[in-house]
Amino acid sequence: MSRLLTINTYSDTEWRFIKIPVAFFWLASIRSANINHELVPYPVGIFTFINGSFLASAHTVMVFFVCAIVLALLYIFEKWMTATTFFMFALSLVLFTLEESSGIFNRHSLYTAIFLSQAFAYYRNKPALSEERIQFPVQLIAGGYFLAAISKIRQSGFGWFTEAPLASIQMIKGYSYAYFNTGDVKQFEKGMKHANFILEHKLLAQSLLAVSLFLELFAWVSLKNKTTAFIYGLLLTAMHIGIWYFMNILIGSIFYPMIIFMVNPLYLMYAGLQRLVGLLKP
Amino acid sequence: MMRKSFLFLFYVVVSLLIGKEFHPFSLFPMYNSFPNYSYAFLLKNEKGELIPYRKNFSKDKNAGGLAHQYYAFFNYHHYQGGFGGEDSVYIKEAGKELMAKLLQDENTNRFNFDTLRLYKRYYHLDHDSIRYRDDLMYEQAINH
Repeated sequence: MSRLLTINTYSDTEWRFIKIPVAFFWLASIRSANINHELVPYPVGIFTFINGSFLASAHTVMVFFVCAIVLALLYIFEKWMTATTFFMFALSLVLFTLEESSGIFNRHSLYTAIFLSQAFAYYRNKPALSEERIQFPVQLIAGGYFLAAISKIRQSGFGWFTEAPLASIQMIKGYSYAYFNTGDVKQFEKGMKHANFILEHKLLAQSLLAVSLFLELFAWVSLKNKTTAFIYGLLLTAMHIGIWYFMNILIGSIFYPMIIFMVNPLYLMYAGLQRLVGLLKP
Repeated sequence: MMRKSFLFLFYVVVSLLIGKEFHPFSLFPMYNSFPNYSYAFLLKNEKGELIPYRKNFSKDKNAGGLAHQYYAFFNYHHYQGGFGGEDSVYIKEAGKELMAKLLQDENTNRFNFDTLRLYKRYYHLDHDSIRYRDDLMYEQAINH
């Protein structure tokens, strides 16, 4: 396993175990896109220039979803990849902008940008394609985390993490959503417990937030090579698990591409299983 | 090294130059500050009982989605918002719009309540204690 990580190229098997979950989570995001049918109430992005209402009907959105299934299959089976990834980009751009123009920001920007970067990699068709179709998306993912850090520093200064006690108010919000969605009052009680824990352990909360800001700010370290991307991916995974535990929030549209491209868990399981089978062979 | 970082630089620089959400460019502003307030939106019936979203509405209607739409409404109209101090006229206006979005494409015949009330729960920290209050935003009679 460690030898695989030190080689700075990606095998076709690794790529296969990346594109299958990417296609799956992208399709799931397309299917669950929360679009206000027949209306674009709060236009953003490309729909500030053109009226997107004609694209927002329930029928059109269904046609888009069928197109997305076809594109996802072409992506998995590696067919006409320059065109396939470009149309995945175009479809993402339209559908996710429609969603954002409905007032819902599910932060799907990375999927859209990733497909464009892969279209570019396939268009170049250089000998380094096997690396670029994975490393280009890693650059965009690292960019997303870095921008998140810059956003915090610009808005709240380097002392962002000192506001940790006030994070308790945001924590209770995440658990309140779960309570109001399901009617399970235990979710609310759990949120109150976590929020009060933060209030009682301010230094710990500040330290955890400082570490997460540091991780986001230095996300570009992951670009050095495959090993740094993998290690950084594990650190970011730990950060997301912490946020999920305390705040009941998992921003899947950022977390899933990150863990798939940086850690590639399906491939790790496959490689581990292969090794185990090898060891068990007489 | 340039090949390994040019897209990172391009994405960061263009996003910062645009300076706002323009899909796929974003500033990823989630939790970039911790103001002393947060809102969550809940539904109650005429008896004051909680109406859970998942048990009554299609899956894309939920507390998180309503919160996003509430902020989008205030941003779009350039209304001042936050800290539990919004103008009651704007709150009612937002409540009416959110209620309409909530009931859009829903079969109201299967609802087992006659009145749907949309509340905004306002959380804030007061001397290390979490406090909240529920403000009625809008009330809608249900036609069965």
